[in-house]
Amino acid sequence: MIRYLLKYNLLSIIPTQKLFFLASDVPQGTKLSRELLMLNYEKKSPFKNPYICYYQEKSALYVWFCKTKQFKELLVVPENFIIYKALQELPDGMFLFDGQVQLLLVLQQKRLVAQFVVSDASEVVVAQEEYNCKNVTHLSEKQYQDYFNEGLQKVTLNDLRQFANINLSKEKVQNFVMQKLAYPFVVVLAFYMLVTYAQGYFMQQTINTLTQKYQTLKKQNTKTKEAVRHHNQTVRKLNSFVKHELSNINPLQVLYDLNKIILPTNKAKIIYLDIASNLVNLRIQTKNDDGIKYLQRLNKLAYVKEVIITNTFKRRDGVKVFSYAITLKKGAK
Amino acid sequence: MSSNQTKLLILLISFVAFVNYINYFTPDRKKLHNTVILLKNKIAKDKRLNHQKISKKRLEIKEKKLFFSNKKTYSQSMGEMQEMLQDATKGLCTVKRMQWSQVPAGTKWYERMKISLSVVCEPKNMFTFVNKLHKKNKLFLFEESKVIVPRNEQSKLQLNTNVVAFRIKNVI
Repeated sequence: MIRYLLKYNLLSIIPTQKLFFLASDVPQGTKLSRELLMLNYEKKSPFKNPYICYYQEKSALYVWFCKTKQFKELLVVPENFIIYKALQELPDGMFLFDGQVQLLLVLQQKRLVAQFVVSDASEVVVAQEEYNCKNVTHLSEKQYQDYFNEGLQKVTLNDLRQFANINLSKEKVQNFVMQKLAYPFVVVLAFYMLVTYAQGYFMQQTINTLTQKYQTLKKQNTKTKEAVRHHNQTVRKLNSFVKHELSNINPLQVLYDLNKIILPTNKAKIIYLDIASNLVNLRIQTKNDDGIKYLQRLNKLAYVKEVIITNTFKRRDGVKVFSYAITLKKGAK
Repeated sequence: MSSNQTKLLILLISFVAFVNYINYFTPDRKKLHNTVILLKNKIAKDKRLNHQKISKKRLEIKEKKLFFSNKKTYSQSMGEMQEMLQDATKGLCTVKRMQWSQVPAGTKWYERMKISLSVVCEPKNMFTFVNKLHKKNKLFLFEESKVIVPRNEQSKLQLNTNVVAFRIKNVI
């Protein structure tokens, strides 16, 4: 990803020679800004009005001062920060990179403590004494390049976020909006209005055409529609008629069914039958004591809701008379 | 006037124009779209109806013949119904009583024509009478029916009932 940022000039890496490094401590969770650092650390910079970039890692604060005042790129990263990222996992000590310029990095407790550009061995000795560090690792120019490449891979988005070179002042935003966005915005508004109006216009045209077509068809179908409407209305009325008038059982059907139940036995005779609406009063005479048998058979009729024996008596000639009240289901036919 | 001020003025004018356009001139595209769909559906429906060519015969309701027509008056229809009943009983049952009920009131599209009927006949003939009546192509209902065995004719049945037929009062 960093390679793409470099390719499209979105990221700038400041060479070590142009930097002055300062390591400090801040309470963990402190929110810092470039302005705040400028206020606190500008006096420690060897440059006048320097460009500051910083990196905050837990309670450690690394500040780099650069002579160049402004950078065009979106992200500005110090070169030795990338080396530090590569060396972070190694044991503590001093790392001396050979090359045209000798670079000395001091790491203690996994933290970058100091960074120097040294010209001779005496300076290394001084640094050793100052940071009480005997372990000096000499690294070649090729190894420097390897560590640099490794560091580029280890740099995360979160690291880069701290090196963002964005200064959003009110004036700058206003200026940017006015200079860069005013005309495009006007064009977008005009385009939106034009497109929506044209869309509405063409839709209205389509509606007019369709309405005309519909009116013609409607005119052609007027008689058929009227006939269908009348037909549906008649059907509705007839359905209502059937529901209202033909819901009661046909008395002849009842008579016919009773005939089938009682007469085949040849032992019983219907002597009275009264059918009014949904109530049937039936009286039969029989020589046997089989009134309950008929009750069970009557109950089996599909349209019968309930059958009860209302009266039973025995005549002088020994013939028994059973009276039934049969309630028919509503809507049965 | 600086460049920024000119641009700001243009931006403001554009905004005013845009707000006015949105408030007063912007077409309701959703509504127009719905109207287009509605019209298309209506046209498709009417096209189908046009292609179907529904004939008058297809819309004819045969059941209407089950009713007495409104071309005749109520009394004429009742007379016709009485003739039908007499014709059905002929040779099958003895008519003991036949009485017209009162002219029904109501605002429905049909009238109930009710004749109180009392006939005496053999049990088998009673069904033949009903079948014969039903073959008359008019709808007859029996209401409040009572079947008894007459005292003087033990082998026969007496049916007391109200025969109801229907007459179309207004055009359905």
